[in-house]
Amino acid sequence: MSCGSPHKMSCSDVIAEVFLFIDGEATEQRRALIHRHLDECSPCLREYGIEEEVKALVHRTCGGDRAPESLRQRVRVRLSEVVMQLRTERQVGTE
Amino acid sequence: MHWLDGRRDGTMGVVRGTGEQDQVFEPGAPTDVGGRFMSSHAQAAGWVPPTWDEVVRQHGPRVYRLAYRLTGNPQDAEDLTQETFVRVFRSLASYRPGTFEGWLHRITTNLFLDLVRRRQRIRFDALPEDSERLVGRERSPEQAYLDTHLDPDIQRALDALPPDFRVAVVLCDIEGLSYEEISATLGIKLGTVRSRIHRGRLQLREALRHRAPAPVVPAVEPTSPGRSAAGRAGGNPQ
Repeated sequence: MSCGSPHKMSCSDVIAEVFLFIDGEATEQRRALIHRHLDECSPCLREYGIEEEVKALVHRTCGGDRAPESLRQRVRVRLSEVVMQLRTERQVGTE
Repeated sequence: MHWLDGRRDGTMGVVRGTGEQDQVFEPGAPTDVGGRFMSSHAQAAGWVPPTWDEVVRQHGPRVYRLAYRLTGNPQDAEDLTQETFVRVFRSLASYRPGTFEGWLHRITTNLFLDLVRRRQRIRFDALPEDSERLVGRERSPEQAYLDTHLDPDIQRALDALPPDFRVAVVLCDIEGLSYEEISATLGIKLGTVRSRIHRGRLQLREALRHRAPAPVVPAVEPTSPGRSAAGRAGGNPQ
């Protein structure tokens, strides 16, 4: 016990599962237990805060990438090539 | 206006416009790039399907963003985006009702993992490492801007993850997919998704440790070193 108080769910269990809690993937029951534990235990709450921040950081910094102007044109050209290729394949197939 | 400022509601016209049966495209239907998706049901309903240009415009941003986060550089991201659309174009016949976006995610991530495996093989064979990349296309001013303004720390931390972990974390944290969706996208078990995300996050956290805010006045005396971030860093999760 990191904070010295007894908990229904152990600190090590909370630390091991807090990522599921953050991702909204913990079961209802575990969710309630973790929630309660975090209310009671400040060291675990801090761990939770760090994990959540890492997730948020990745999301925040990576969310706004914009594709360059030229990309759509490149995709278009590439698709044209594929169309030509398919036509050739079909012609060869029917001969 | 930026070309990517298209619809972002995550649906494709075909899927949204008509009934479920219209989600199955006819094999080989798109005959030219300017052409449209053809579906007899859609045609019968008098509905106009989107052109390829519209499909690329609508879904390009999302595919590119995912590709960028997976590959870590704009050149590879563009190549991956291109190849994703080529794959979509060629395999429309095998598309089955479901979300078009999920399908795009699956194609993008699979192509990325193929790419990684291919490169690992090339490195293993000690061939010159991707030399065309060094003398490759000139970076556009926009790319140069992005390169210098995106957070290099985060990208470096993501790049350092094993590709399998990276894919799982990116799909979860950036694309916002649920574990179940990731499991379906990658064709792996839910437990595998869980462990990849867990281990990936721990590595990320360790790599980004220097960014952590300085600890506020410790509430408890530091008698339990095992509880600190540093103490847990080397720990093996289960």
